[in-house]
Amino acid sequence: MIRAVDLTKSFGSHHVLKGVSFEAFDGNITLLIGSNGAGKTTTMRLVAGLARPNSGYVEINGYSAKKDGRRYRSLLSFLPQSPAFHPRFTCRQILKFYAVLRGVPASRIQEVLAISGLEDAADKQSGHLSGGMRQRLGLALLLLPETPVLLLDEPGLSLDPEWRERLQVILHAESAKGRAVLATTHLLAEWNGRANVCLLCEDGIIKGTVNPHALTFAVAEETSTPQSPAKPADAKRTETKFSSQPPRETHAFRAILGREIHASFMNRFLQTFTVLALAGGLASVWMSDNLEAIAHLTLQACLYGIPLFAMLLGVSSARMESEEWPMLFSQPVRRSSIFLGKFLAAWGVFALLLAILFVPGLFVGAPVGGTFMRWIESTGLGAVFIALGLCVGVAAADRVRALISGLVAWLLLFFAFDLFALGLAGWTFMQKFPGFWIALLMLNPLDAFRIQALFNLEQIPAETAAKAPLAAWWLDNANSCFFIIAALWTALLLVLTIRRMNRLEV
Amino acid sequence: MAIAGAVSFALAAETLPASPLQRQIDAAAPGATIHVPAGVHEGNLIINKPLRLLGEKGAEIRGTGRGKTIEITASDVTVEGFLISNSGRSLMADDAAIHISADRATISNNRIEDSLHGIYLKKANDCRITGNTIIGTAVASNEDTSAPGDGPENCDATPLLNGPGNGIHQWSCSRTLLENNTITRTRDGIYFYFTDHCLIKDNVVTQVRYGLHYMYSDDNVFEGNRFSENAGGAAVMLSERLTIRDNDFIDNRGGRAMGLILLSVDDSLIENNRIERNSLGLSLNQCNGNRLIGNTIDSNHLGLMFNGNSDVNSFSANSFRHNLYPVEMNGDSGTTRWELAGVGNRWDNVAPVDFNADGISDLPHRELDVLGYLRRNFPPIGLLADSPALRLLRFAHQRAAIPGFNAIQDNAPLLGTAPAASATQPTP
Repeated sequence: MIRAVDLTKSFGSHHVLKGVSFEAFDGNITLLIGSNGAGKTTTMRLVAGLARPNSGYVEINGYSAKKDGRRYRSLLSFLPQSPAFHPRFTCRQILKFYAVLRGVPASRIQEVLAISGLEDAADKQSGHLSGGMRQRLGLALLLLPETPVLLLDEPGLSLDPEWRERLQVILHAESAKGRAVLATTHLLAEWNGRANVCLLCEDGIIKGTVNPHALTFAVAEETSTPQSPAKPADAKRTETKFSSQPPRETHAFRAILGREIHASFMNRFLQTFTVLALAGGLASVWMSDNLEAIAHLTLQACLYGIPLFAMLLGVSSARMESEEWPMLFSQPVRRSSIFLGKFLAAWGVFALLLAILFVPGLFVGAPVGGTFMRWIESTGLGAVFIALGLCVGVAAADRVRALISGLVAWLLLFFAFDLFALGLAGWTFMQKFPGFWIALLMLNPLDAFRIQALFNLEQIPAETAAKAPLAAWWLDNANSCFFIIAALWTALLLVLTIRRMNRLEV
Repeated sequence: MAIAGAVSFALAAETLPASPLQRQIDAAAPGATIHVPAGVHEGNLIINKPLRLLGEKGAEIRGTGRGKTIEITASDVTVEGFLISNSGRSLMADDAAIHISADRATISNNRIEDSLHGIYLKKANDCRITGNTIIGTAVASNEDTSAPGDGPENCDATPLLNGPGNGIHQWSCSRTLLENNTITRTRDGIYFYFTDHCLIKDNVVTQVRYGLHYMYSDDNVFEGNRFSENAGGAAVMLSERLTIRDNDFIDNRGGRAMGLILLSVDDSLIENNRIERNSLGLSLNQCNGNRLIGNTIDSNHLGLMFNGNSDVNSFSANSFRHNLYPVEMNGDSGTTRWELAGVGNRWDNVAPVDFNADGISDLPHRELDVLGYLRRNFPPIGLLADSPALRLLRFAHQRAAIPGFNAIQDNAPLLGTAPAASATQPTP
């Protein structure tokens, strides 16, 4: 049973929900109707746990969306208005992934494929599905776990009349089993006589109930005031035959990691980089008579290309399936697991690609230690910029803004920071404390990387060392400092992104 | 105390009974040739008459560890084909494996080890030093062994007592030929002081303090030598009318290492040298009227250090590329010209605008010193040398001059890497 109590939600000065309260009981189909902008979808997002109310609360079987997040989400299954999936995964792969997230046995996949009429399209990539078939895949995902609550936001918009009819039959069958079904719609005629309860949402409140058998008439005239939900003190956690426990987080994390790695290999952006890396590696073999040139080029590639690429990879990884977030975030999985899975997968694939770039150098006799270290260092630098890309990718509203923000951040670290450091160096105070200035410079991971590489080539601090022990210490330990700084930056960006992701409302 | 010790050692050496080879030398007629068989022959030797001393394969002259292993005090002496070792260690007494204080000596194809100075020429004219290998006693290192406070600018030659000596040391000599010698692990490789009209050709000097330590010596020609992996590099000072051509000054790295520094060097020709991968490539300070043509000053940390007190120099057909920090300037370049006969130099990022396809950019090239005085006053600023931000500033300045910075302006910069049709090297 769903219980919503006095839900309010504002976006800036726009008050979308002004105190929505209702109950949706097990075994019933509860319909939420209303005109565009009445607050139906916002209510549904709050119930699905995708957004947080400004005040009020929502419970399923006594479990709070706010306090018992994973347990709460394990009790519901949500079909968004426009379900989206990774376009290069097949229906079966998508169902398999969500089955692991739900802890549902694989045998259930075939059942829901049959229910949704997708048996013949099971191995088709979702990007090749029609709008209606994609909706049916969403339906399959809705039915995949046997949860006590089914949530559907404007279902059937892309379905043909026959499948709309079948959808209602399916929902009736599910409610008959004792499940609570909550759906929003503005297709009143189609739902006439099909729901048990019909709530009229208007101007951010539940104005009243409507006779579910008279939906084709002027509903406003037929409303009656709904009964208030039970008081919070009366709410008790109840278990039904559909109650399900969330799967172990580690299983879900492994599934996410595996899927992200799989997705990375299908990413055209990464595929292009692989070709470039391979070409670079082979070019180093071709230039094997000039190892110094290889080392120089590699250093330049590490300094200029790799941070930019890693940042773009992070943005791409964050934004690629952002349309799928409503479905993904309504699963009983922590968002931090989703994010860390993305990060580790992107970083792992990135390290692998770098190896493709570096390994040929080993074969042609480049100093093994040096090349291996450069790979390690570049991978460390990549971690920072993948995290940066993910950070702006999660924070930005869309892919274009994410890319622009990422590029701005990259330019700041690449150019503006050093110009700032150059300006500071002219300050007499800084000249008295070169160690402090070097420490400040090395806060920038790009500079830390560049300095430790430069320090191996030059002995700039020979005179500085005698005058400024702290400066000498920084430079003597430039390699360790780089790794520490890279780790700190990565950790900071990951924490910021996870915090942002947890607050994200989709 | 040290001086007294050195004198007593010298006296002790002279009181030793003469070795068989010394007796043979003493007995020989002036102008005679002595063939010395293989084996170890006792030093020290004093050659005070014209003589040819030829060592057969495996012949070694081993000093006593005091004084000079071979001391040549007469003209027209030849010493050839020996392994010479174990000289004294007193810098004050000018101890050396071979000490020459007479004219027209020929020192060829010897190998010198375990000695203070290798070959020491003092007021000796018209000598020929060829094909010798001199291996000093210094531990191989790129670290500068000079005393604190020494800088490449003043090239302080403070003697280090009991330290290693120089490879070939010349003082007040003239018309020496130094050819095909190999010098390593000495203090300085080739040391010149008041020595004129010499030809220094095809020598290799590695792993020493200064490869070339050179002062007050005019009209000398350096050709085809290689100075590499030294702590200091090559320092040429206070001299005139030199020709430095086709030499390699490479891989001299360290806190104060340079490829080639010129201090108060006037009216000289610096041509077709390779100055690569040094901490400082080329430096000009108080140098006037020099022509620098066709040199490659590439891949150094600092490519060119140019002091504004240098005038009327000409740079043409040189390459200044891939240096981490291309140019450091102290003042503007004044009357120095950066092109000769319409041929400028190669730089990174020359604007590729060449409507007449003559291999010379139609736009002038400006090379900016962004860090300016900070490089001298605040050495850590060098950590920004290769920064993309500074590269961007240089690029911007090359396209549109930023006021307030010292910069070089080359009005005929060369494009590409191969000599262009009309960009042939100007005749000096």
